[in-house]
This record gives sequence, structure tokens and C-alpha cells, in this order.
Amino acid sequence: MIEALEIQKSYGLKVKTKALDGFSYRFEEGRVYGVVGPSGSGKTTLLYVLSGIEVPDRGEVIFMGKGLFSINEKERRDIRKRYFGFVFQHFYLIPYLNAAENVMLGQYIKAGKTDKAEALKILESLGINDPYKKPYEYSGGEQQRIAIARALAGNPKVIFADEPTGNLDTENSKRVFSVLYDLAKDGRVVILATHDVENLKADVVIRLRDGKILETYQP
Amino acid sequence: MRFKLITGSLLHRPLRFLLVILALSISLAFMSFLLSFGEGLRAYVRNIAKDFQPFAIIQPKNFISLTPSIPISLVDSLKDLGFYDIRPVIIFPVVNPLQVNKQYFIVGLPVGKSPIKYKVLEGRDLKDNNREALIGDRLKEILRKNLGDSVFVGSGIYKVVGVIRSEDFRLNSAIIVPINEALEDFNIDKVNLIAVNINGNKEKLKLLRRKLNRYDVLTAEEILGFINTIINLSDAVRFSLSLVSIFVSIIFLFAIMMITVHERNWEFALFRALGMGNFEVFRIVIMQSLTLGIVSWVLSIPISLIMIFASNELLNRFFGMKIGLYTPKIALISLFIAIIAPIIGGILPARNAMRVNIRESLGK
Repeated sequence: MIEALEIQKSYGLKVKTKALDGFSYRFEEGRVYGVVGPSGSGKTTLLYVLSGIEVPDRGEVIFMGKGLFSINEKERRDIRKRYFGFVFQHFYLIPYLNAAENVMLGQYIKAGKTDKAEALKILESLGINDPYKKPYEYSGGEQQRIAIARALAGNPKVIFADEPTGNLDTENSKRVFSVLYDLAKDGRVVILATHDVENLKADVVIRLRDGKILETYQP
Repeated sequence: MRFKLITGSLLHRPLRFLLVILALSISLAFMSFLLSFGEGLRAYVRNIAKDFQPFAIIQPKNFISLTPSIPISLVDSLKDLGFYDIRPVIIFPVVNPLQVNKQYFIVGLPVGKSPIKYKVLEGRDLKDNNREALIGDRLKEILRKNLGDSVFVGSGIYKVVGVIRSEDFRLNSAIIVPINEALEDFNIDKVNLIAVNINGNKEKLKLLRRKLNRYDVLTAEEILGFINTIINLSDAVRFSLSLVSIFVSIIFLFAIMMITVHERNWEFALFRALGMGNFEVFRIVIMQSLTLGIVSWVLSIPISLIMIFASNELLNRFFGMKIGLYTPKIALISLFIAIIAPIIGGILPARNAMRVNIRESLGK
């Protein structure tokens, strides 16, 4: 469904640091991919390039037969809006909106309209039964599940999760990984970058080092 | 949802929101307050000029004459020219340098034919040549005079028979006596101005100007136009002054919006990561800035009304007149500023918001 072809990405002006060095891989639908590796191995960069947020120095990302970097910024943004969902380490829930409204924000940006019943349904399916509290009133695990619910607004085909359990304890980490794992059952691709190999629940693990694939395996 | 994004983030920091609104609304109120004086003066002059509508006013060339300088014999010359409705007026201030707020005017008017309109509040109007006087309602309070009391005018003693109020603030602080008796008591043969009824006849006006080239002969419209020009000039000065405060508010608004956008970098980065367009991000910030402007404008209305009321009370106490006037025109001007100022102050922060680097803001 989404394929990276010879992705090259460097940072720095005078001294260039290669974040991705000829990364190629094909991500299939219905599967969860865990991208692991030490800090600076290129995990986050990979997510940002695959989602079209960061433009690579070289290479291409093919999504649904279209080269993400052969089209303009607006078209790329439209693809992101229609087909991609994002989960971040720090949740990034809007503090002045309640849980339901945070999910509806995802709907609003993606579809230009909101569907409260649908938002409540998604939240309920993720175990958030009291959706009218402000984000700070929830535990870390709950906040991340609300963030996942927001990522699910608009029914995306690919979900990118950057260190989704980075701020969670073991029990909550397992639960969040489990929720993300279940999302792939509906034919989605879930690509998550994580340090938390111990609790990771994925179909394929891609180990990166210095922007290159060191190994891939099925846990 | 857009409304929630706009208002939610403002209300999320209520103290900051209140401070910005307070600063902007005080600036707008200050501007409205200053402009209200121009509006009030215009209305005031319009009302007085209305009284003089059918008249041509003959007055000395220097325009403002505090002492009578037109010979009363001119009345006879005017009669010879065929004018029959001629109304001379004496009006000059009596200054007490120790008590500025107790200054008053001596006014001599032709009985029953005053070109300056007034309303009798108590007692009755003047009758011919019987040593009677009217007193302005403000002066009555200051001098603590009642109907039937005596007042001195020049060398004469008059009995107060009526209390009056006029659009011309000078009459409210005046002792008004029949002009013939005033001329006699002050032992003068000159007046301040002469109103001649020309009933809008331009030929008569031309004749007056030709024959009386030593004096200014003005119609009510001309006086109104001249004074309006002065008021417009003073409006420009007052408007410039208020622009300084508006400018400071724009800088304040700009600084606050910059801080807000900086704090909310991750929020805008999230919006953009989820696919929100740059223009929509720009619009949210500008709408927030505009919301501050509109709320400030609403708040500025009662503040300016209070300021105008207080200054009117003060003016009334010292000069017996109320000038400040809040008109729809002022409300519209301040609304315009309340829209333009936040747009100017919000453009750069909005531009920054739409250029947020997603990776840098959300990466860690």
C-alpha cells in the first residue's frame, strides 16, 4: 500500500548527518510495523517522510500508485488529510477541548464537518466512556487512547505513531500497542516508531541503524 | 468547531485575554471620547446657527469681539437702506479673575425680538423698558438669585423676572436686559453684533456687503461652514492623538499574539500535520485577533459613554454646556479601527503560525 524507494534524508548545513540512507521498504495493508532502533537511527524521520510531511533529499514514496514527492505540497496535504492518521508521544490533545471535541477536531480538519455520534463511538470502542472531560483530567494511557481516537477520525488508511508509549507505564503501553494492533485488522497499515521493543505488538519489526535497515523480523 | 478553536484558546488564558481587551477597549474609548467633542461642537453650532437662519450677522472684521464695537447708529443707516427687522445685541463677559467658574455675561437684547433663542424656565419674559432682567439658570445657581431679587448691570439695578435656558451656553451664565437700557447703564453707543433679517434674499445680502465693507456680513451657513472647518481641523488633531494610543494597542496586540502563537506552535503544527491548509491556520489566528478587537469595541462603548458623561458634567459645572456627544458615526469609526487594528496586529503572528515547522514542533 505504501512503499519507500531509496529514501535519502540528511540534516545539518555544514556537517551533514544522514537520517535515512537509501531506505526502501514496502508496507502492506492489514499489518502493523514496528520501527525500532537507537536514538538518531532515523525512526521519526522515516515516519515524517512516509507521511509526506518531510521532503527527502532523494527517493520517492509511492502511496496508492502515486509518488508523494512528484506532486505538489497541496496535493500531498490532501492525501495526508484523507488517508493518514497520526499519534504522537506527547499526545498533543488540545487542552481547551474535551475528549469528544478533540476527536471532532480530527473530523473537522479531515472532512470539514463533525459527527459527534461517530466521535463518541470511536472513543467508546477505545474504552473512553466519559468523553466530556478536559484532557488533563484523564490518565496518560487514556489521553493516548483519545489521541488514537482522533487519529481514527475520517477512517484513515495509514496510521503513523511516533513513540506512542514513550510517556506511558508498562500496563498502559501494552494496552496502547494492543489498540494500535487491532486497528490494522480493518485493512489499515499501522507504522509505529518505538524504543519499547519489550511491549511492542507488531506483525513486522524493522530494526534501523544509521538510517538503514539492519534487519526485519516477525516477532 | 472553528468557533471553538478561536474562542477556546482565548478563554484558555483568561487573564491575558482580559488584559488585551482592556487595553484595546480603553484606546478605542479614548478615541471615541476625543471624537465626541467634535460631534458635540458641530451639533451645538448647528443649533445656534439654526436660530440665526433668516438673519445676516454684522460683526467686526476680527470676528470675535469681546467688547461692543459697532456703533448703534448703524441701525438707523440700515433702516435707511430699507431693512425693517434689525436686532442689535450686546454680549460681553464679566470676568472675575479669582473665580473663573463664576464668570458671567451681560447680554442686551431687543425685547421680544431676540435673534438668540432661549426658553423661559421660571417667571416670564422681558417687557419693554421697565428695569427688568432675565437670568440664566446656571448663573442663578451661582449667584443664588431668585425671582424678584435685584441684580446690578453697569450703573443700573434690575429686578429678576425670569430664569432662562438657551442652546447658546453664554446665555445660561448671563444677566439679560433690554438692549436700550443696557446701552444707557453702561453709557455706551456700541453693540457687539447686529442681526438683520434678510429672509434668504441674496440681493439684500449683496447690498449689505457693499454698503458695510468695514464689517463682516455673514449668513448662518457661512458661520456654520467656518466653524465646521475649525472643528474639522481640531478633529484631525484629536484623531491623530487617539491614533497614538491605537498604535500602542496594535503593538501590544501584536506582542501578545506573537507570544500566543509561539506557545501554541505545536497546536498549529498538529493542525497542519492532520492536513489543515495554511490559509485556514492563518484565518484562525486572524479571527482570534479580530475577536479581541470586536469584544474590545463592545466594551469600549460603555467606557466612552462614562468618559463623555463625566466630562460633560464637568463642563456643565464650569461653563454651563455639555459638548461630548456619542453618535453612530463615532461608533462606526471605532468599529472600523477595532477591525483594522487586530488585522494589522495579527498578520505577522498568523503568518508565523502557518509557517510552523511540523517536525520541529511535534518531534519531541
